Amino acid sequence: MTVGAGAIRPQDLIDESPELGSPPVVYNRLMEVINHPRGGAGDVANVIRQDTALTARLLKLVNSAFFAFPKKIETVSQAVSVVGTSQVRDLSLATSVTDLFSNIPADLIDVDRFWRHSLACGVAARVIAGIRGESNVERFFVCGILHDVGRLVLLLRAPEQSREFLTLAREKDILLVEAEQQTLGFDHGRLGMILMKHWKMPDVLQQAIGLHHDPRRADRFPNEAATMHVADILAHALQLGNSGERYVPPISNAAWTKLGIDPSNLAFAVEEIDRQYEASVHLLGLDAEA
Amino acid sequence: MATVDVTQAEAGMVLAADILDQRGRLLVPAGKELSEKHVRALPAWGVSRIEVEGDDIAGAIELEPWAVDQATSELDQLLSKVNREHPLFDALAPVCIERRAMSLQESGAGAASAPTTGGGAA
Repeated sequence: MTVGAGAIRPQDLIDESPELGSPPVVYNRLMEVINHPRGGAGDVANVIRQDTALTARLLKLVNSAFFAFPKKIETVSQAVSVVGTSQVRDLSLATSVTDLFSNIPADLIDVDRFWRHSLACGVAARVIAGIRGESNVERFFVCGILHDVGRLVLLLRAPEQSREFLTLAREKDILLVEAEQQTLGFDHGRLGMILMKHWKMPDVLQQAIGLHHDPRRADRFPNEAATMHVADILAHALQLGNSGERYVPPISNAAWTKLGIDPSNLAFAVEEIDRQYEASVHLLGLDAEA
Repeated sequence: MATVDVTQAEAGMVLAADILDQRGRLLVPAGKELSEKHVRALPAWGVSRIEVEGDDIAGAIELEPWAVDQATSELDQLLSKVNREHPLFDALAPVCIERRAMSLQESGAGAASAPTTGGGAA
């Protein structure tokens, strides 16, 4: 069931979507393991083993031509040691989320390109966080993967209105986020924040995802929101994937100043983003670009 | 610094940037002088181009005007809703243009075999 024409409330879109009722189970377990100071490869392998689909996917991946291992890899722990804990974790988090949105109408948006944009944003956020010396840079990657999740909820749950704002953005030559606001009275950031709240995700994810277009309003996690804001801009400017938005969104100077990034570091950041992006795209099997 | 196709790599060239494999693992670090052995191994490692020290390098990849023009006009379009004078875009624009032009040139010439960084969606 999708929501019909007329005014829609963001909360209703989520409340009336049983499939969005809770975050992927594997996600929460992985985050626990990752955030545990003594969590290691063995713990990650344990979590993955409980998810048959993910296990199959991981084994298929490590036995693919990309890794080119001479011997067949048959166990999850072997796979984890071959691919590396952090990459397995990225793969697991990203696939567990992408699987929730596999039913997006293909005529509305290219879902593969959408995920490539999300991945690029995650990688860019992690690189920025690294440059700034943040601890626990992985949460930035997670935020990046999820930053536009609100748009997926719109496409999935309100396809008619989505068609409307996609057309409006094209015809009036405006940013897609502005077209969302004009059509719906709210945007994908707001919806993403509501979904994160619904999933009982940490407040930092709510603010970083919810306010990536309006980081000044992030009163409690200004650095995280500013990082997502700039990471999104980088992902757009580098043309890595596409979220449906045709333009690089405007920058909030307050957010930029807050991050204190030396512009002379950008060339290095771009190289690092390209490198990590390429590896993640392979990992997720998104590299079969049309 | 110059970008050199692996087929043009020669022993004695000094690396200006790390050589990484497709998964991002370090193969040869920046600052190292290429040996004959390196030169033979590079294609087998799937490396398609390297960055070396020096300006007047024989075999360096020159960006072609058509690729730079196309990359510039794509970026102009992409950045048409932002303040181009902001320090971020001021520093980012030349990086984007060079990177995109290089990728356009490679796919246009159809010469590149191994996947390289950059590219992305058109």
